[in-house]
Order: sequence, then C-alpha cells, then structure tokens
Amino acid sequence: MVYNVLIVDDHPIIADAYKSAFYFLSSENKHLNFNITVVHNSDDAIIKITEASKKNGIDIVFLDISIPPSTDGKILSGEDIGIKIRELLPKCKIIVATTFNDNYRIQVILKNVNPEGFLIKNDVNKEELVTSIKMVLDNSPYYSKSVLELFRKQASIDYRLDKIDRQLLYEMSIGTKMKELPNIIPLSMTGIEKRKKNLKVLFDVDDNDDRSLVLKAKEKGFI
Amino acid sequence: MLTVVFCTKKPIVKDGFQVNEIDSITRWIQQSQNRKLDLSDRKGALQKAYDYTNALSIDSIKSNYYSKISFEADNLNSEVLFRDVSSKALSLATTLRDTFKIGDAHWNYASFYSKKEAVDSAYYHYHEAYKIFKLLKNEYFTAKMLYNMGFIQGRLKDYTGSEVLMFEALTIYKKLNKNINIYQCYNYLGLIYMELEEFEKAIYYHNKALEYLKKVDDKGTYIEWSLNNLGLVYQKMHKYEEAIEIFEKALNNSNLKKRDLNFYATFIDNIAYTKFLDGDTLNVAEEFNKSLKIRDSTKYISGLTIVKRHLSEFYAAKFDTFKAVQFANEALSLANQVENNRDKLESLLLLSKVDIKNASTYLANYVHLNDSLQIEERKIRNKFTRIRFETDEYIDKTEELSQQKILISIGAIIILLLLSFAYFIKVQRSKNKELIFEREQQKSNEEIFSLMLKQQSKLEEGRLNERHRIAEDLHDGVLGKIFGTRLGLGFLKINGDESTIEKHQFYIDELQNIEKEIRTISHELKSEVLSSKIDFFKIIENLIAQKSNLGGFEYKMIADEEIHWDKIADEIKINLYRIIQEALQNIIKYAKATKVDLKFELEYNILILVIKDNGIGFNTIEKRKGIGIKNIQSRTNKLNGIFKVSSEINVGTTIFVSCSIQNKSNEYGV
Repeated sequence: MVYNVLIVDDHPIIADAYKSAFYFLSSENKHLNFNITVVHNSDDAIIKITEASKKNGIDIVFLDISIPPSTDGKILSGEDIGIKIRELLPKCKIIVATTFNDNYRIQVILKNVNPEGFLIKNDVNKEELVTSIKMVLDNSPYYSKSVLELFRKQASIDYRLDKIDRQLLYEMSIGTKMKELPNIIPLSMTGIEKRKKNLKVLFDVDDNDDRSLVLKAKEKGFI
Repeated sequence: MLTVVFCTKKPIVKDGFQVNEIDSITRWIQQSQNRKLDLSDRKGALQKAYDYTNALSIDSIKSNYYSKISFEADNLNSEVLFRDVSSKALSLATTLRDTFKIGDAHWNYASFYSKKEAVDSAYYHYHEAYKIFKLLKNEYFTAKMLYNMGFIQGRLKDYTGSEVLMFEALTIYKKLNKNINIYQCYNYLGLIYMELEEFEKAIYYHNKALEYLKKVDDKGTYIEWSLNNLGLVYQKMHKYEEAIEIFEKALNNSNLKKRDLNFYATFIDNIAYTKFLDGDTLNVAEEFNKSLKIRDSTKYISGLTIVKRHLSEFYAAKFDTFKAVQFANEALSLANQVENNRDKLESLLLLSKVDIKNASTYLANYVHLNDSLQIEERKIRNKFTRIRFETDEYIDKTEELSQQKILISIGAIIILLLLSFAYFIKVQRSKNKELIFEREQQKSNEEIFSLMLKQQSKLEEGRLNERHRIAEDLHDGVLGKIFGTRLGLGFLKINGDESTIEKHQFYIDELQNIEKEIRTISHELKSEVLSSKIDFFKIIENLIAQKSNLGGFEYKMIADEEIHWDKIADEIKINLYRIIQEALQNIIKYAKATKVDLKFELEYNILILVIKDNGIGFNTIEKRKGIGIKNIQSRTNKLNGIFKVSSEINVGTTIFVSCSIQNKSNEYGV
C-alpha cells in the first residue's frame, strides 16, 4: 500500500529525518510504501495541498508550526496550514511536530487543528517518531509526553477559561504592558481589568498580585 | 516815691536720681536753700554741691546740677561761684548740644546780670534764652523772656518797646492761662503808662491786673503792691483823696506791718506825702519820721532816700531851709552810696530847688547827669535794637531753614516711599520670576526624567527584542537543526561493534539533552516575568555604575523587594535620583572612597535611602555645609522628608534620606 506523505518543515535537515523515518518503516515492512513530498515554506505547502485535493489526496502530513509565512500574508504559521488541510483534505491525518512547548500555543493548536499526532520535537527520538507514525496509520492518536502532561494539569480548571482568558494570561506572561493590551485583546481596559480580577479569584491569588497570577497560571499549565 | 516791679524767677526742676553722689549733691543743694541757715553756710553748702558735681562722670547729669547750682548761686548772690558754674554749665550744654540747657544757662546769666544792674548783658542773655526757647517752642519760657526783656526796656525808659514786648508775653500767657504772669504783665503795663503820663490807661491796666489777681491762689503782697501802684497813679493825677483812700484801703485790709515792714513803711510814707501834696500837714511830719525810723532800722536805703527827699520837700514848704537842705543832701549822699542814678537825679533836682544859694551848681550837675544818663540809655537802647534785629534776622533765617528742612524731609520721605515701593515691586517680581523659574525647572526635571525613563524603556525594549530574537533563533533555528541532525543520526545505520553503537546512541541522547538546555535558555531569554525590577532601579544602577567608573570605587546596590517603583510618584523618583547623583558626586570629589553601599528600604510606606561610603569623612559640626549637602537637604525638604548625615574621619560618611510614598496608583506594568 502506498501512502501519500507531505512533509512541511523549513529545515531541510528535519525534513530529511522525517523522510528517514518513513524509509525506516518501509524497510521494516515491505507492504508499506510512501510517496513523500517535501516543502519548506507555506506557499509551497498550500500549492501542494490544493493540487492534492484535486487529485488523489494526501494521507499523512508532517506539519511544522514555525515556518515562514506565505507571501500573500494569509498563512502565518503551520497552524493556518493545518486549518487549510482540514478544510481541503478532511481525510488527511496530521502530525504536528513543533519545538513549541508552551502550553498556550499547544492548546490553541489542539483546538484549531486537532491533529491526530502531536509531537514536541524535543521529546522525540527515533523510536518515538517511528511509533507515532505507526500509531497514526493505525488510526489511533499519538501525543508526545509534554502534551499529555498538559492535558492532565488542565483537567481541573480548563472548562472555565475561554480563549480570551488564555490570551490575557499569555500576554501578561510575556510582559505586555497593560496599556497595550486593548490593542491586542478585543476588549476595553475595564473589560480586561474585570477578567483579570475573575482570573485572580479563580486561581486564588491576591488582588494586587499580577505576578502571582502569572506564576500560578504557568504552574497550572495555561501558559 | 517807689514803684515796685517783679522779675520772674524760674521754677526749680527736680530730678529723682538715686545714686550716692547724686544724693549728696541734692542734699547740699537743699541745705543751700535752707533759709534758716547763715548765708555763708548756705554758700559753703552750694560750693560743696558744686565740687561734687565736678566729680561726676555723666555729662548729662552734670549739666543738670550745674544748672541748679548756677540758679542757687544767683539766688545767694555768690558771684564767683555763679560765674564759675554758669560758664561750665553753658559750655557743657553746648558740647552736649542740649539746647534747652543752653537757654537755661543764658537765663541764669541774665538774672545774674539783671541783679547787678548790668542791663545790657542781662538783656543780651535774655535774648539768647528767648531765641532758644522760641526755637524749642517752649511758649511759657519764651513769654517769660519776653516779659524780662520788656521789663529791662521799661527800666531804660524805652516804654513803647517795653509795651510791645509785654503785650507779646501777655498773648502767650493768656493762651496758657498763667494768671499770675498775666497779672505781672498788666501791672507792668500800668507802670509804663504811668511813666508815659497816660494815667487813665495806667488805672485801667492796674485794675485789670487786680482782676486777674483774684484768680491767683498765692497772692502774697501782690494786692498791696498793685494798690500802691494804683494810688501813685492817682497821686500823680493830683487826685489825692482817691490816692489816700486806696493807700489806706491796702493798709487796713492787711496786717502788712507784720508781713513786710519795709512795704508798710512805704505806705506810711506815701500816705504822708500825698497828704502833704494835698496841703494837709497834720501829723505829716510824724508819719514821715515813723517811716524814716522803720527804714533806718531795716537799712532800706532806697526807701530811706525817698523818705528823706519827702522830708526835705516838707521842710522846704515850711520854709525851714536848713532842714530841707540837710535832708536833701542826706538823700543825695545815700543815692551816691548805692549808685542809684534815679535817686541821684531826684535829689539833685530837689537840692537845686531848696538850696537857693547853690541852685545853679546842682542844676548844672542835674542836667549833666541827666544828659549822660540819657546818652547811656540811648546807647543801650540802640544796643537792644541791634540785638533784637539780629534775633529777628536769626529767627527769620531759622524759619526759612526749618521750612527748607521740612520741604527736604517731605521730599526725602516721598522719594524714600517711591524707592521702597519700587523695591517692593522689584522683589515681588523677582519672586514671581523665581517661582516661575522653579516651576519650569520642576517641569523640565520631570521631562528629563520621563525622557530618561522612555530611553530606559526603549533600551529595555531593544534589549528585550534582542533577547526575543536570540531566543527565537535558538529555538527555531539552532534547536530545529540539532533536532533534525539528531533524528538523522538516529536513522543512520551504524555498522560496528556493540560499544560503537552504544556510543552512537549516547551521543544522540546527549544531543537531546543539549536541545533541552537550549530550550530552557531560550525560554528564560523570553520570559520577562521575573525581572520586574526594571526602570528606576535600572536607572539608578546605571548611574552608580557610571559614577563608580569615574570615582574608582566598588559598589553594592540593594533594593527592598517590596518597593514597586512604578507606584512611586515621578517627583519622588526625580529627587531621589538627584540626591543620589549629588551624593555620588560628593563621594567622587571629596571622600576618596573605595566602597559605596546604596540601599533602598521600605517601612510602612516610608522609603529609606541609605548611601554609605568608606571614605575620609568629615567633621559634621565644624565643617560648613557644602553646596552638595545643602542641595540634598533642599531636595529632601521638597519631599517633606528627613535628611541626616553622619560622618567619622577616616571611617566614612553615611547619608540617610527618608520620605513617605503615599501613592495609590494601581497600575502595574509587568
């Protein structure tokens, strides 16, 4: 059986490693054959996806999140490509492989792309990479260790935080000034203050202590 | 005939000094005033008072006593002492520029010369005193001087001149309600008009005098004197009966015999003489003799001369030429004895009438004496005129000068007012300017600070951006490449023995560890949540780092974690910055320190700054405050804070600044 594989990564050396993994699989099992295409940027990725959607489709995509944006500015990261894939190739299985391990980004990606496989590059070694491909081909999802841990940590509070709460915590954590927040988050200053207050109640920290809030949110895996 | 006049004497002024020497001087003066003592004893006492006074050291007190002693010496007719004291009194008063005392000394002189019949000298001194009292606006004394001057002029037969002065004095006395003085003026005016033979007027003034006398408490023998003078006027008018009536009225109304024997004799003489003039010779001789006897016993020579002339006239009328000539001659010799020119003249005139044989000689003598006296009087009168003229000129000049003075003073005051007003405005303006300047300075200070902050935050931003870039590069670039390399290595089929394969796997794992490390580093580079101590603390750190390079000292800087610099007002931060700058400047300039500790502490909203060095120190008590210390003080004052500096030679200096940070800004930029 021949699988159409698309590898999206701006580092040729990584793309090469993924390729090696697929070759390794087919060397183990003669029945598995992979038709591998490699692209290094968003533009190429979108072209390939569009082409494939009109022809014979793609079975597995290895998707890197931080790749150079498209020239028309519509595609900013691998995340957007993932959304595009889900739109054009609903049957395609996506394995996100990223160096990000900050919880917020991971959650956003999980929410928007909902990939069958989620690899944090640093967790991954040869065996795991191979296993992840196998698992995904077997129709069971595969998540890296860090992602699983995140799921566990969040279980308690998760349902109460919406996207804006998370974004607010995230912005606070990267040191964004309060004054600039209304430009980033679609809320007024008072709205932001209100949310912040609610978050403080939720995380059980002092009213004045923004720093503790950020630390607690981090500990709980929201950032 | 006798006319009676009074020369005004001045009152004795007493001061109350309680010093020993002064006490004894006062005692000696009091003793000299004691009428129960002998004249020589009294003079001795006054001499002692004078000697003590000479020993005094304070000129003003000395001057007071000279004045008193001079007055008393005049009273006691002690000529030598008087001249001595008065000259000293005058010169001392002149050196002290005590104008009143100068006038007083002149008065004493005048009274002294008046007694000595040296009328021109007396007049001169009265005039000097008059000028001074008039300048001093002492009206009472001015009037007294006028009276005395008029008195002297009257005696020299300058009746019109005398009259003018009397009226001047009278005007002042009336204003001041000095009844006794008014009485004296009227009395004298009565005498003047009698001399001028304007008898009606004389009677009018004498009656006026008596009228005013009713208002006087201590009348003495004034009533009798006035009645005597009035009687004499009637006598001159040949109204003998009225005259006798008045004389007798005076005699009957009082026990004059006891009070003033001489005066009593005068009345007897006058009554007898009037009777004689009236042609009534009954008992006249006895009465003349009675008067003669009394006057002989009291040695009242002037009175004696008069009664003897009366007797001579009486005997001439009785054609007893011998006795007439004898009495007339006795009168003349008595007049010669006391040098009384008036009596001399009268006696000579009488002799020329009674002594028929020598009539021409006496007449010639009379004419000669009269002429010479008149010439003398005229001379003196001219002198008076000159003195008065000079005085008038002097007064005019003084008035002019005083007017000028007033004008100058007014001008000066106006100019002064204008100047002070201008000065006030100028001060106000410069104050305003200063305020505006201060405000501007404050503003620019704040601007500088905010610029500094902005620059700092730009710097910080740049630094942050750079960190982000590095982090991203590490994360996306390096990390990805290592990851790729690691996986690539993992898929490589390594041929070799087991240990080589093991090593291969180890290096791959090691690469994974390196990745982890890089990730951590990248993360930390990005994460700014822990470094909230930026801005002000950074600014101060930059400052001290820069200064430590300049001053060659090491530094340590600590800030309390509790301090939220963002919440502290810019004004406080600006001033703290300047204080630290100033303190560090001082350390570089003077302290020669090798170590500087800077500490910020927070205690219940009080921010405490401590800057400690290990330099040479200084003596905080001896050393004058330098501009640096003063600046720190004034900046601390602006913060309503407390500033302390303690220093020990060769140990170092510590500066404490504390101030309250009451600020409720909730803004927190992480």
